[in-house]
Amino acid sequence: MRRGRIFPSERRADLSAAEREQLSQEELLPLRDTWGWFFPLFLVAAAGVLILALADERARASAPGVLPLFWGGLLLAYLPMAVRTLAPGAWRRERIALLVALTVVLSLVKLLEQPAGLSFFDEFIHWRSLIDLQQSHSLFTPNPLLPVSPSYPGLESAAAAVIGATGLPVAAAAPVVVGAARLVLVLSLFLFFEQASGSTRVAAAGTVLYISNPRFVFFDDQFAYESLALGLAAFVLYLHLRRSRGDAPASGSWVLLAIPVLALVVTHHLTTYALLGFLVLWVVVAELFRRLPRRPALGWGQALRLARPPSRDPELAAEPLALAVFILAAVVMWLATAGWATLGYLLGAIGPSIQEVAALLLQHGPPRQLFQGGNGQLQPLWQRVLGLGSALFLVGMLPLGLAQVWRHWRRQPLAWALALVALGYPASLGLHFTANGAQIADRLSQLVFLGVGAVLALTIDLVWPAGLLDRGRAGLRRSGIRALGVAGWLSVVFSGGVLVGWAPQLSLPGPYLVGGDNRSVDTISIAAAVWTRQQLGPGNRFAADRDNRSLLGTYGDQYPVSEDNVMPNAQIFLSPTFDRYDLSLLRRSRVRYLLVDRRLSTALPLVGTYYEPGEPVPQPAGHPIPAGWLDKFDSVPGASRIYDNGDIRIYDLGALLDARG
Amino acid sequence: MRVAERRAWLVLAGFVVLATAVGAAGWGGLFLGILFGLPLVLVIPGFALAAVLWPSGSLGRVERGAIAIGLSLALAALSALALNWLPGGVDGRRSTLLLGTVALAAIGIVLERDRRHVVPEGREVVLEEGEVALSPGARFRRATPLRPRQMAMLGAALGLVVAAVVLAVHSATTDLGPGFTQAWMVAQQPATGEVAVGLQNEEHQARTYDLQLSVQTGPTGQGPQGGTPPSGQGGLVREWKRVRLSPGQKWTATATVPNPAPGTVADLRVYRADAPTHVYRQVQVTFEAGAR
Repeated sequence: MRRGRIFPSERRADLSAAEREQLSQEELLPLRDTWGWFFPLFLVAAAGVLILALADERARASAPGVLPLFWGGLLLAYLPMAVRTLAPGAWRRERIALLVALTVVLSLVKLLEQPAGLSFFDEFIHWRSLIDLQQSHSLFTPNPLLPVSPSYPGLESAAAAVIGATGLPVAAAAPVVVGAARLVLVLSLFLFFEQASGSTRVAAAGTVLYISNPRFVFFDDQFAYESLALGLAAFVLYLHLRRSRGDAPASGSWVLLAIPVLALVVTHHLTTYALLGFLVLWVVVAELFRRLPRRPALGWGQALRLARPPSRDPELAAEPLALAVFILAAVVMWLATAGWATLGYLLGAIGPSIQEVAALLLQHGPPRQLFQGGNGQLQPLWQRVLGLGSALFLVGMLPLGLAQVWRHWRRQPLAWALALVALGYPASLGLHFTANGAQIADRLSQLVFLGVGAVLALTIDLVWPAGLLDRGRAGLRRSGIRALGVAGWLSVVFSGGVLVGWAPQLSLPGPYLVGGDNRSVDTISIAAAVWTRQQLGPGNRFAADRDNRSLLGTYGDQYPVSEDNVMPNAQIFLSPTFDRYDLSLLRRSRVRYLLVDRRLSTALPLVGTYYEPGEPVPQPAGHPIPAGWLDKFDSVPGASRIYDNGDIRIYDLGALLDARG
Repeated sequence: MRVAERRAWLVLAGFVVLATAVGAAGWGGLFLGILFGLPLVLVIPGFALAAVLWPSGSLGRVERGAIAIGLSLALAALSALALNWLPGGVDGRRSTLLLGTVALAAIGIVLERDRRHVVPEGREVVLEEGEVALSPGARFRRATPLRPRQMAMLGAALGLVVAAVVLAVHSATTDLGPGFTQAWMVAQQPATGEVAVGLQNEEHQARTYDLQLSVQTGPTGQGPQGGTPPSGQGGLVREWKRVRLSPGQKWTATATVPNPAPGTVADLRVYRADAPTHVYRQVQVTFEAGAR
C-alpha cells in the first residue's frame, strides 16, 4: 500500500523523508480544518489596508498624523500574517494562504497611493512601449524614454493580451499583470524552498524573508519589466527543481520549463543574467562536490586532479547544467537578433558605479552620505536607525544561518550556492557609499535576498523551536516570547527595508515635489502633456526635464529627447543664456519644442537630477536653478511661447530654427 | 480519466470558446470582459498545457495552480513575439485568439489522450492538499467547506479591502491639486496670419477672463513677462471680453493677424476679471517664413 504524504503538523513535516516513510496509514490523521489562523489574521491585515488608505487620504490633504497611520497600517497588514506564516504548528495550507494574502495586501500599498493611473518613473517607460505596440501593431518600435525597452517586450505583450481579452484600461491592466507575476513569484519561491528543504516551515520562512526585501513593497510592484521577470525567474527555478525529483515526464517537463525560460529572456536582461549566474554557480559548486575527497588522506588538490565518474548522488542530480546551457543559448540568440542595445545600456549603467567604487577604495573621493536624498535632505533619525537596524539584523543573523548550512546541509550543492548568494548581501552594503552604487545595491537586493531568505530560514527552528509546543503551558509561554522576539526582528527588518528601498517622501501621496518621480506627476504636468497631443499632434521632438519627459512620452505621445536617444537636455536649460551653440544643438537634434517647468526653480530635485545624471550643478551649488535661467527663452528673438498654464510653458522654436536653417 | 473529470474538461473547453469569442469580439462590456478574459489569459492556457505536458497526479493543487498562472503569464509574454511576424501584426484581441487556441488545443489533446481510459463513476477518490493517491479502497472525507464564521471573516476582510480601494480612488480623483488656467495660441495658417487661441479653466470655480490679441512688427521693448503692451509698431488686433468658463470648460477662437511679415509677433494676454490690470497668462507666436 502506498503511503500518503500529509503534514498534519509542522513537526511531522520536519521529519526526514525516511522517517516520514515509516508512518503507517493509521497514523494519517483524518481530514480536518487546516485553515488555522488565516481568516482572523486576514481580517486584521485588511484593517491595516484600510488604515493605509486613510493615511493616503490624509497625506493628499496635507493633514497631520499621516506617518503614524501609514506605519501602523503597514505593520498591521504585514506583521501578524508574517509571524504566523513561520510559526510552529501552522498547517501547510494555512501558510500558503497567508503568503498569498500577504502578497495581495502588500501589493495594495502602492495601488492605494496612486490608484488613478500609472505614475512611477519606470512605469512611464513601459507604458510608452505598450502604447507603441498597440498603435503600430509591431514590436521593437523605438522608445524615446528608454531605448532598450522595446528589445524586451514580454511585459507589454502580457499587458496587451490582458487589455485585449478584458477591455481594461492600461491603469487597471498593469496592476493585474504585475499582481499575477508577484503571486507566481511568491508561490514559486515557497515551492522551491519546500522542494529544497523538505520543510514547509523553512519554505514559508524563506518566502517571508524574501518578501521583506527593501524593494518588494514599492519598486517591484510597479509596471516594469523586472516585476514580471522576477516571477518568471522564480518559476523557472521551482520547475527545474521539481522536475529533478524524478516523477516528472522527461520531455513534457522540459517543454514546460522552456516556455517560461524563453519568456524570461524576452522580458528582462538583468534578471535573466542573474538567474544564469546563479545556475552557473550551482553547477560549479556541484562539480566541486563531485571531486570531494572520499578518503581523508586525499587533499583537495589530489581530488581535483582525479578523473571521477559522474556521481549518482541524488543531491547532485538536480544540478542545472542543461538548463544553464539552454538559457545561455537563448540569451545569445536574443542578443544577436533583437537585444543588441542591451550591452551598451548595461555598461552605461554599471560603468559609473565601478568608477565610483574604485575612486572610493583609492580614497579619491569622500563616501556618499547615507540616508541623504538627492536634494541634500537628511532623513529623520528614527528612519536612519531603522534602516541601519534592518541591515544589521540581517547581517547579524547570517552567521547563524551559515552555521546551519554547514551543520545540516553541507552535502547539498544548492545550499552552498544559496549561501554564497546570501554573502552577496553584506558585500553589497558597501555600494551604498557611492551614488550610483547605491542604485545597484538596491537592485541587487531583489536577487541576493533569494540567498538571504534561504539561509536565514534555516535558523527558524533554532530561534523559535517547534518543540516548545510539546512542553505544556511553560512551553507555550516560552513559544509566545519567541514569537514576540521574531515579530520585533521582522518589524525592524521589514520597515527598515521599506525606508531603504524607497524614498520615504515617495511612499505617500502629496503635493508636487521638484524632481520627485511620482510626486512630480500632478494635474498641471499632465494637462500640459495632454495639450501637446491635442493641439500639436503626436511625434514632435521635445526637450524637457526628467519628469515631464515621461509625461510627454505617454500622455502627450511626443518624442522627448534625452542623452539616451538624441541629446542631453541639461545643456539647454542649465545655463543663464541661450546661445548659438544651444541653437545648433537643437537644430542638429531636430528639436522644435521646449517645455519649461518653472517650479524647478523652487527647490532642489529629490532624486538628485533635474534633467539627467551628470548634469552641471546650478551655481551657487546647493541652490535650485535660478528662475531667470528658465525664463530666458522669453527673451530669445523668434521663440514663441505658445502655451502657458502658470507653472509650465511651452516654446516653439520653429521660426528660429527655420530662419537660420 | 473519470467521467466527471472528462465532463469538467468539456465544460472548460466551452468556457474557453465563449471567453475567446467575448474577448476577440469585445462583447458584453467590461464586466463580461473581466469575467471571461482574466481566466482566459492568466490561468487556463497554462493549466491546460500543464495537463498535457505533466499529466501525472504527482502535482498537488497548489503546484498546479502556480504552474497554471506562471505558464499562462509566460505564454502571454510570448504571444506578441509569435504574432509579430504574422500578417496583421500584434493586437490584444489576436493575442486573446492565440491564447484561446492554445488552450483549446491542449484541452483537445488531454481529452483525446484519455478517451480510451474513461473510468465509470463510483471509484472517485477526493484527495486533500498534500496527499498522493492511495490504494483504491482508501477513501477520505471530502475537504470541508468553510464554516459560517470563516466565511463571515473572509467577507468582512474583502469588504475592508474594497472599502480601502474605493476610498483611495475617491480621494485621488477628487484631489485636483491647485487650480490653474491653460492658455495657448498656435499659428494655423502662417502665410495668412491665422492663429488659433484657446483657454481652459482648471480652477476650482468659474472664472471670467478678458483676452487681448495684439501684434507688433518691430523690436519689442520687453519679453512676455512685462505688463506693458509691446512697444514696437502694431497694436490691438482683437479683444474678447467677459469670457466666462466653468471648471473644466474650454474656449477656443481664431483670429487673423494682418500682414504677417517675418518677425511679426502676435501677443495674446489674458486677464482675470477680478484682477484686470495683472497679466494672468501670456502667449506669443512669432511669424517667420515656413513657421507653423
